[in-house]
Amino acid sequence: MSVFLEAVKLNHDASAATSDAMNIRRNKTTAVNVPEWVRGVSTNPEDAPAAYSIAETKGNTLTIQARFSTDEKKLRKKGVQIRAVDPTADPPGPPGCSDGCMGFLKWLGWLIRLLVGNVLGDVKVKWVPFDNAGWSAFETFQLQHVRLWDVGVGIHTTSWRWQYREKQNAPWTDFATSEHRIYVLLEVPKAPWQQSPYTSANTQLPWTAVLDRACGWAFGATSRDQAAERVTRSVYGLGPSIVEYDCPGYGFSHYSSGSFSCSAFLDLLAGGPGLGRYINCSDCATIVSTFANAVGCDLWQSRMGYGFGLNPLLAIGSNIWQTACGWGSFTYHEVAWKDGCTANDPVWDACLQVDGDADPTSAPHTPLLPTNRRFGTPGSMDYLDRLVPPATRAACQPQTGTRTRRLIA
Amino acid sequence: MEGLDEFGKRHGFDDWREPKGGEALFIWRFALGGQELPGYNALRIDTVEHPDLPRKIESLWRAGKEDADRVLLRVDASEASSVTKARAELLRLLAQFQSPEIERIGDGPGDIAFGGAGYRALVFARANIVVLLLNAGDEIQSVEPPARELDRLLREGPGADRSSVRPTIQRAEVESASGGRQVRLVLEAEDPLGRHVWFRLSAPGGEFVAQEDGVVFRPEGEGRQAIEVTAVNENLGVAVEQIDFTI
Repeated sequence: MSVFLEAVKLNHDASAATSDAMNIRRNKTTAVNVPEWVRGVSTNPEDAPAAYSIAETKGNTLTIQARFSTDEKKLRKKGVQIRAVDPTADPPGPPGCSDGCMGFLKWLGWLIRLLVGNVLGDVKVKWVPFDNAGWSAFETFQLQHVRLWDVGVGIHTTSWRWQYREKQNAPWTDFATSEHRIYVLLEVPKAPWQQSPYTSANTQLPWTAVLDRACGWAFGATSRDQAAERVTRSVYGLGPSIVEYDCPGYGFSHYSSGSFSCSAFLDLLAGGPGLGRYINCSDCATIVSTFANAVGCDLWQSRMGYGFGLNPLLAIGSNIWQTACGWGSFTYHEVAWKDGCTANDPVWDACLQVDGDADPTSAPHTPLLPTNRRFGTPGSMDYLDRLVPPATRAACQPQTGTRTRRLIA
Repeated sequence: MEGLDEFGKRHGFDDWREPKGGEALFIWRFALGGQELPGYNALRIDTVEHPDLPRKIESLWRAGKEDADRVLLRVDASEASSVTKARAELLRLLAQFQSPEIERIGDGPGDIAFGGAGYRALVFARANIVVLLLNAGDEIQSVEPPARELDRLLREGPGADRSSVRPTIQRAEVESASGGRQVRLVLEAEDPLGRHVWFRLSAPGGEFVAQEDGVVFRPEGEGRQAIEVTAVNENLGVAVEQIDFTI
């Protein structure tokens, strides 16, 4: 071996995410170090994570930076041409396989690549000089055959087979392989997530621990509303195995009574105790908006109220149509809400299913998870009418002053 | 938070927004170490900082008995900078209950308490600390016993025999009292194992307020003053001193 891949930076420009990866961290306590891939340190794709925005990068040439070394004196003087190719793009067929089976395997390989494979394409060839000690600078490389804009939200593994040659027409020599976990987001995450200040102390940078969940929940979504709907359905689907509406605790905000206790919630998702299995509407609104915003949606948490009756509903984790634990009313309710969180704006409610038929006040019930549903006005048969019986609809008004995005903790 | 007025009316906030006077009690730099609730083991204890809210400890405890996995207890403790601000924090927490069945409990723990039937959930304020207790497991139990245990800890401090490993109070004194009706307290204590130490301060009257990473005492009137300072470490070992001074 005479050339070595030392390090790769995918987020090499912390001030922008238009032609490289965005600023991220792993979780509340751990930053993502750049260069993300380091020789001898990074062995799995998740060791070298990076997140890209479809919207912000579209139409731009993506770039990465990489650094190399050589132990050959002759290469130090001349430098080498370096590129990286996707090793999965044209894999050799298995031994003993006929053409027909090759066709199927090729199709299967194409499908896998489409779903989870390389979205960053190949690294274009470039001359790389070395200093007298045999080290290169961090060289900027352009990417080609990028598929980032052809896929929706997702998590992909990009593998690169790094190659060099000493002359223009010489054969390529493989010298390293790097693997990267690539999060594809619709847009740069919205608040409460931040992109600056880009410091290890800023816990509001997007967490890969959240992206691992959010990108799975919103997998394949190509629009904000689609992503928000998928996240909402996924959160509601956590019941009853992982979460349940907090009837025992009178509907308290277990994960969102101040900041969003995101670390504890992630622990719960991973099978740990978290802060317990009970959640309420504020928790659901916070989880939906925070996770959806992590992939590029633009939702808020906002309340309606105060003190209103309820139609029969299916609370998260329950299969019994009743008026929320049998209380008959809510002091308030909170949902993930779009734009100004007014009566004209749509809501996403992962806390409960309402009755979606013509008469939401009585049986029979047709379960309807409110996603992208206009809040509405009394009699409009939008979200309000499905949640609240006629007598107290006037008491259930959008409380736009409560519109917020809880900080991540 | 917007909308608190509605919850203030619902829960009669005007009746309890200010303390009634009497003994001044103050808890400073409170922490949970995992030994505060006999019969429970702490599964997690997190400290949560928020720029606009009191520092909060979020914790989850498991009952130390056979069906332990089914009995989980959520305990939060928020430390406000004054008793009045603790009352405001209590109201803010009351606005996190969706149920209309949360009501004031006359003989509950703390200076003021709210909860639901059968003590399935409880939130109370004692001095400048607001404590929330909730069921978090499948088996629902009354949270009254652990609530009373925590309230006793705040009100009286740990018993002197709770642990033989005790902190040492290095400084418990007032800075110069001249030029006003309030004094700044200088409080320093050290745990022999380097663990966190919190303070419980009490006086026959007056008011304590946390200010600029310290505590200020405002007595009710001029004359001789006495403040009892208790330093508490994580295993509830205590050291006690009294500060006497004149204003």
